[in-house]
Amino acid sequence: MTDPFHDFELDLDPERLSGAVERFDLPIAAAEGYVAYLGLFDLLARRTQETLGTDARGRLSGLALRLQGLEGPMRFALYDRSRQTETLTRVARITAGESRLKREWLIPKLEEDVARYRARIAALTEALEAV
Amino acid sequence: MTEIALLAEDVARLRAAYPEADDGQLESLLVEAAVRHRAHEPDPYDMAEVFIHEAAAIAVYRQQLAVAKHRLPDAVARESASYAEQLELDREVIPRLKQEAQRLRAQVRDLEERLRSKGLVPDAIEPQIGAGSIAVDDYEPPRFTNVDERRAATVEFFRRVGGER
Repeated sequence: MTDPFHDFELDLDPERLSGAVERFDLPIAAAEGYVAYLGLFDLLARRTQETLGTDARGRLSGLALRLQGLEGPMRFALYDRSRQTETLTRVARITAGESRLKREWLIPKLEEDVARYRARIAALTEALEAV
Repeated sequence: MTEIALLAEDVARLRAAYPEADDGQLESLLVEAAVRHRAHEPDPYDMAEVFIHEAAAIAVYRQQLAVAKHRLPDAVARESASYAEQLELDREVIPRLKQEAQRLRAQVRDLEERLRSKGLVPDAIEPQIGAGSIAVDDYEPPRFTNVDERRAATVEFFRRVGGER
């Protein structure tokens, strides 16, 4: 059997992940992302020990060291992306609101004004021609 | 029972590592291990335990980032679309209407003046324009020519309002 963590380093880059998830109904004691992942990685680590034997310790130590350097950058990336997404979403919402106001109020109002000016011009022209 | 989502890639890795177990068996094993680890802090000298806790913590971030990675491009696209729509209104539709209103108002003023010069009272002629029309006499069409100019002008406006920091 191959190393259960074969190419795991590639899966550490969220950009390479599909973003797809699988859903499970778990008892409340394990129904939290972190806790469920504890179970998942425990099973993978156990299978690694069965598969690699004495080499498993080195393999898991290496992966643990690699993971320790990721938490800070990932936390920042998550914060930064959330902030950018939130800002852009807010700007888009405000801009869309302004456009709606223009479409639903300003443009009909201007069209109404133009129609009134035209009616007034027709009446004034008629009065002028009658003189 | 509570529904929980796990990264498809990690679940696939688990299934590949336990080809002899079906999903029900894997779930039972996973829950048993999760509850066992949850009950105590990892032993810092046990590299397997350290790895399991690190991998679980990072998996939560990986999942959030992977699931959210489409949201930023979507937000950028929505923001650009909303600007493009507003630009279309501000550059094409509204200026055309305001300039038309401006031209017609000038024509009204001219006709009223000509009537006055002939001794007539324009205010006696219906229909009146009435109050509440949108002021357009001093209107000048915007100078924006594209989305980027419009965006730069907006950023500059907020910079001036917010002040330099």
